[in-house]
Amino acid sequence: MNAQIIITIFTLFFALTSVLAIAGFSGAVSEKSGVINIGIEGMMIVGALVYSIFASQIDWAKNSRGAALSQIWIFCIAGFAAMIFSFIHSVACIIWKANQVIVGTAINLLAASIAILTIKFLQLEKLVIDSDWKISLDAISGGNSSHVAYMFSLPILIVAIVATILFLMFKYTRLGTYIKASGQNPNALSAVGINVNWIRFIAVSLSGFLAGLAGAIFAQYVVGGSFRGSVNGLGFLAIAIMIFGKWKVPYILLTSSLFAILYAFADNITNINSLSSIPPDLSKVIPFILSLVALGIFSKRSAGPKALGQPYDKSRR
Amino acid sequence: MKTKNSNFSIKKLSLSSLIGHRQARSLKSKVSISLVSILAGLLLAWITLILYSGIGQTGSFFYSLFILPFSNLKLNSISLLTSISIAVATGLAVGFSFKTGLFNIGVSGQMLIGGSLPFLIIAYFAKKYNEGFNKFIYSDVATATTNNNVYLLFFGAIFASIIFASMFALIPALLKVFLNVHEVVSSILLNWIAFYLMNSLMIGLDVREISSSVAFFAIANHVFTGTSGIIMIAAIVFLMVATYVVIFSFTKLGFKLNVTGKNSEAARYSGMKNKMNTVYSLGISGAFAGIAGFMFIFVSNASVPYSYSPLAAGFDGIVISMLGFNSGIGIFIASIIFGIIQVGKDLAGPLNNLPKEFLDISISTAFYTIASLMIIYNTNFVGKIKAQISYMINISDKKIDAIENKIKSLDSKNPQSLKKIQRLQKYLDIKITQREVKKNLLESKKEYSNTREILVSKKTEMTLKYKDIYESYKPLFKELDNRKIRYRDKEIEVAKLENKRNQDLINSGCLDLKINDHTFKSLHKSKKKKITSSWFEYYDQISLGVL
Repeated sequence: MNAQIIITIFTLFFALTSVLAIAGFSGAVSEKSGVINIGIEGMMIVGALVYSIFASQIDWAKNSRGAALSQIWIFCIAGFAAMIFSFIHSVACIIWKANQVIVGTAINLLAASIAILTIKFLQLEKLVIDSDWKISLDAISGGNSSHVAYMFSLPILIVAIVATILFLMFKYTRLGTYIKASGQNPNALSAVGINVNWIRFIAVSLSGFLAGLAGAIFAQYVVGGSFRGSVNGLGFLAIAIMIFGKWKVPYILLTSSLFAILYAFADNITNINSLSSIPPDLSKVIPFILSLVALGIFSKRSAGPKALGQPYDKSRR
Repeated sequence: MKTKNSNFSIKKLSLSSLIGHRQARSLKSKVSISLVSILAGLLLAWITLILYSGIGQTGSFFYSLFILPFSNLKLNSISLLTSISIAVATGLAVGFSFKTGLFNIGVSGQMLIGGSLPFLIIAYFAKKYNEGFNKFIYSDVATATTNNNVYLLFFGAIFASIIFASMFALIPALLKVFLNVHEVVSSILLNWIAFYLMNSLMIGLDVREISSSVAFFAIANHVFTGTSGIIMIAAIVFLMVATYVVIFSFTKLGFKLNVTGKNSEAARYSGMKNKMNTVYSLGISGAFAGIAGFMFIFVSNASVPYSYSPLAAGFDGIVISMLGFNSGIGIFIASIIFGIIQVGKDLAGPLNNLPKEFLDISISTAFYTIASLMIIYNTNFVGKIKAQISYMINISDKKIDAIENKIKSLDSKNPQSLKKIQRLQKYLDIKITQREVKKNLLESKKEYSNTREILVSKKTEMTLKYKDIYESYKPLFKELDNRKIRYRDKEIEVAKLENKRNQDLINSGCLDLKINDHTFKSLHKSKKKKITSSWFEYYDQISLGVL
């Protein structure tokens, strides 16, 4: 195992940590408000699709780069696209009071087919983004993939910002407490005079935005800028991580880094000489089995929000 | 006037009501809902085709989509029946779990495990003992005439598929029962686990060449061919549908599962074991998925397909069971349509110069649209939107008058117009109750705000009035608290003194409380309560004596 492999593993580790953590936050925000969100995978796909279309196909986005930091706008656009896509979920679950699990599944299936259909419309196999779009500590590493500074890329900054904002929001702001209350005791929230459905709508939209962001990071930093229309089931891993992390921001950050190191190691297992005989697909099973085990251990003890999965009905107050 | 109004009553929505069998719908409305959503889905597919290749080709494409499968029945009947049987099996698998209030989204993984594990085992042994395998199957290898042993292989394989798939489906069931893991999350993870495991096994065992060799097509080529093959597939389909119908309408188990799906609380209170029902439901659902996997991998593909994500065929079951409203016969009819489209798609693509992948995707998009439309229909959104709009728009008296006039103008003796009158009367009732409800709501809102204002003002008055009195009593309260604390301190002191005195008595030998440890323990075990009580009596006597 030489230095090059360690650097590639850690590059993937940081990127995956940020993807899994932001997707986990997305699930946590939605579930804290009392709406189950299984459609994270679908929203991530939409985010990844919009990001990679903007980054690879649309000229003004490509040309206006100048400083590579202008891609931050495209991250935001991807987030907003996924947010608009999440309106399907919020309208069906909050206003029409449909079953949240089934709608989430439908969203996953719909997003996957939309993504593959759009890629086919562009008459491509996959969307490829230029490799120099990757933002790491450019000045030091000079885009050299064997330099240590190459590992520290933009997603670390994004996940740090998102995590602090969410942590502060849930701890100190009014909106955070409203969201928590609408998941724990919506009747109390409504008795104070606040519209529970409106709070849930805001929470699901925020969740969609975060999922889109996670998808955009996935398209750029995890698969190396080539998007085929699937996010490899990371959205489902994020749900497991959220339960594993007890719906709390710091725990989710920790557990996602734990999963990410395993996943990154499993992904590069063929490059390590002593382990190269293991088939690559077999090593990819490990994170999924681990998350299943983690779910089994933690689901019984950690109680989620009390009103999870129940559409709010004012007449039953 | 009726006070009860259907538009304003709140129905409890559960999973089973969403999927449809709980709502009392007529057969006509069920069929029309299914047909409308199928048409909408095909419309979407049509639009994508126009965007892809222009209007010219699409007409002929749809013509060939539905007609071509029937044009050459000798060739296509087996593939048609196979795809119908896969659709039936997946639909029944999902429908079974829906009817019991669960959601088996892991059909994809169960299909893959159930179909490809026996396939890989057979392929592995066929590779290792090539001659023996050929001898076992063929009476004459050169002309490839088969033995009756092929049927043995076939029954063994289908049995193994059912067992493996239902064992795999039991994992989420047991996780749900014992560890409270939601079955959807765990079975999605299991889908990915199955997908990666089978991919790596396929590469690890290196059976790709053997699976395409002549020996291995034995089941597909010798059991499922000609009229005997048609009879075989028809028998499998018939058996599956019959089991589904018989379980739910004639057996105790089916009744239990049905009640659990409709209202799990009621089932629990009437003494049904919900946990056992979960296990049964997912196990049987997995068995159906196993048959689907067998048909998909042994008959339809004759190999384990390599892809980038779990089998899409497993998710089609959701659409089919929704279209069939979870009834066995409904699922059967829906899957006939489904099977025809699946086969027609493969035949019509090359004729119209359309790439296969594009057709796969556009048709699957159409199916997912159908599923989402079915969800929307079942949430009764049309009624809800109507109620919302009529609530928002002020219901004018003019409209009510117009309806009344219309009723008066109709002839009440004519039986045809009588029906119309009844319908109008119902509509009128609804309108009037809506108006009243809205009026009441506004009035009560006003009353509420008025009373609240009065309450607040009274409260401030009260506080101002009794402020002085409260202040005057304050020192008294404080004094009371102090005394309480002093009293408690005294009590503690007394208790300490008593303790000390007893200790002194024991030390000085006035009291001999030593009892043999062993005897005390045995006594304590046998008669715990008596011992303690007598101990205290004894203790009391001593203290009395001392005093």
